[in-house]
Amino acid sequence: MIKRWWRIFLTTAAPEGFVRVYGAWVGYLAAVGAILFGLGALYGLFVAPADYLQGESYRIIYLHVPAASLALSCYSLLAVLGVIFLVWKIGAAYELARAVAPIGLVWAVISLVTGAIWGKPTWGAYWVWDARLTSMLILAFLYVGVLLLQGAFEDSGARGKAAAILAIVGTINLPIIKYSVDWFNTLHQGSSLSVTGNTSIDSSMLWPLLSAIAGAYLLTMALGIYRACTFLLERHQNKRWVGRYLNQSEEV
Amino acid sequence: MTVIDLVAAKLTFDGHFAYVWSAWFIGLFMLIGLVLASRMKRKKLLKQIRFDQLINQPSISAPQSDEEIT
Repeated sequence: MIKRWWRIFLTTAAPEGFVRVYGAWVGYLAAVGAILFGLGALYGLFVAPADYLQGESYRIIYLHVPAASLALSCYSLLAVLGVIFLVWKIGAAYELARAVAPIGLVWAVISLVTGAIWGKPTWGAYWVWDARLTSMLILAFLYVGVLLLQGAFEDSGARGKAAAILAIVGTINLPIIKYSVDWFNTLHQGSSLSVTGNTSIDSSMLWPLLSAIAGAYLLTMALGIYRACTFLLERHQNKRWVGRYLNQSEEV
Repeated sequence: MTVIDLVAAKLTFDGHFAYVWSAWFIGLFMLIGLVLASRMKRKKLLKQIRFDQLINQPSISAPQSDEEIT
């Protein structure tokens, strides 16, 4: 069983295998993701009841929480890909990291902007130097650093190494973001969602939120694979398999 | 209360419409922008690769000598 999975991993770690196997899933992932995200967003905006304390402004949660969750997840993925690239020197890991970094940055910025807009009616200020907000801002800066390093050197190996090291070092910020609301005295509310079952949010608000989160994850996967395939095609454009792939695919 | 009043009440989010709509608009604008930028990059790349393939493929050229015709 393990051997079989290892063989599948090795097949898809090769550029051609990655583009052929994962590239075929992009359309399905995007379609299911868009439906789930759309349903969650529409239900959350127009059907779910208003919050007893925050009123209608809480409806930003259906974008803010998926964005924050994905900003953290994309960075975790960057670190894992960094380890794979440093240890096994797999080029597809570097291309996937190049593809994922801007997506993670966009989610981090969306999380910061929507959080700031939500903060005004709730706290009376767009920004406070609170532990959660500040650590999230640092995450956005880490993304910028990784992106800059990915384009910094002539040698692609050096670029990959430098970006991977920063991504791995930056993971120290992830538990700080996650537990900042518990460790520090902060304005930001505590976690509403929990895997262990202590979810403090009503089910009429919870289900659209979970749907929006699941949809956002699928959309991110689709976009990440799509961008990684583009980078792999660009890097290997002189190889024969690219010609074969393009002849077989109907893409413009 | 007419249907229009009900819809208007829903869309204004009890006076918080500026916050809710601006947050959603900015977020979706950034996401759609990223998707479109990725799509444009891919299209441009594929166009270039196909063009390079067309240039580099063995062409059907006129025979260079009489022997080649036979």
